[in-house]
Amino acid sequence: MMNNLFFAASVLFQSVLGDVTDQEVFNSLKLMGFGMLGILIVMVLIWIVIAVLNRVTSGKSEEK
Amino acid sequence: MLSEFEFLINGFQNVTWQMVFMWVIGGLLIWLAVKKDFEPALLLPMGFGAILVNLPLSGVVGEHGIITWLFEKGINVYEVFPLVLFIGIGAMIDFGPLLSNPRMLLFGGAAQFGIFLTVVLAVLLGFDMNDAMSAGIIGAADGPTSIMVSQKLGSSYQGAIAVAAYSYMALVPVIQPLCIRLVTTKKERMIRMPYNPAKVSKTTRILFPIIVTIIAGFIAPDSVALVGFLMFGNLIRESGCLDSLSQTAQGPLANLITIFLGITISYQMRAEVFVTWGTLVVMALGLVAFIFDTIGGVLFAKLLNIFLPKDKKINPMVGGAGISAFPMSARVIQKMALKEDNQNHLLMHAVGANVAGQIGSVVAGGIILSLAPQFLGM
Repeated sequence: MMNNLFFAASVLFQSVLGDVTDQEVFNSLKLMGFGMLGILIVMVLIWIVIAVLNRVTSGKSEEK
Repeated sequence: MLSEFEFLINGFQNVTWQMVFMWVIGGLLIWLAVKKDFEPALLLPMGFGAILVNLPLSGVVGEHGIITWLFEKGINVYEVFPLVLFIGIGAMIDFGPLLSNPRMLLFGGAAQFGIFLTVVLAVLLGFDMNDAMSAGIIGAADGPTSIMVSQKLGSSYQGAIAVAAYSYMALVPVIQPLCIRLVTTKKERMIRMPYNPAKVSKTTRILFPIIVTIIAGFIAPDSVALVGFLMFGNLIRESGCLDSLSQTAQGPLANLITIFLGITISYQMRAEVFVTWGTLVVMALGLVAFIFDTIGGVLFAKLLNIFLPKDKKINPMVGGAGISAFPMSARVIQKMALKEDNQNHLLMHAVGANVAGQIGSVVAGGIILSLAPQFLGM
């Protein structure tokens, strides 16, 4: 929806394998932003979970 | 009279130069596997398969061909082979070094940067978005993830993506040192990191795969298949009560699936779909993805060092181990560290980042699959 508001998918330039539209470039950059943000959120959440687990179970450490 | 023997030369009459080219590619993959020891378990079956499916009038492809059947049932419909292989991989991985040093998770995330940068580059080169995403996922440095994601996105370059994913994984000892030297100074490469692992309880080891699956499921539902099967394998390993199943998953199951996965993916190496300019560009993009994964991880470590006190600095090379090529990348970092300073042992830190990269790569695959409908109108 937002893409359509800002872009009417006009051809930016002709590349080696075909036309490149501004919407595709915008989408790929958006994917990069969302993708990296998503991964970092998942990783931070897992980090928090490990920290909590390590703390909660530290009293009964069975192995190193 | 002679015409009755024409069936003997039918094969010769149907040979095309593209088929001959694919035989050469098949031979090259077999040579790399046998002589250079480049991921032989995958490249050898793929090499032989490339020859097999490109024989003229080959009986293994087509409506009643066994390779077609294997592809349809094993990869195309429910991605059975890549997913089942993940059970074996999960059973092989010891997450202990990560659980005792969880900050390494950040590098497992940062070193997926190459995936997304490659998507942008692929779009700029004129690829459709689904092919661009599929080319990017080569940077997951994880064969089954690359195969599964490219298959789900309906990419026309699945064969090239599988070949690139496994070939570059084998080339990690060549690619990573070059990239790391490019963006680090000798002083940075000599940073020592004492290893004081926290104690990890069995309860943590058992709960870890379950909780990771739940988190991944909430944030990127499409990653559940990948993460879930990986973590299922790990749960079997860590439960302590399923040793024989764990051994089976790590050995016979993984080996069996690897044999079938290699030869089945060769279905996508038929001359008519493989011999295109796009294939060459996809292979090149895969290399770019590996390079920028490494650089992304290293630069992220350097960024963290700006905020860390002097005695807590991270050797930026450890960030480069955040790619998923396990355990090769960790070994490369350890070797590089010892080369700079023969008393600098980074192996356990690098292993932690490396197994974090395994999680990061499957999460990246899942996130791409989750976001794909938004960009592809699926």
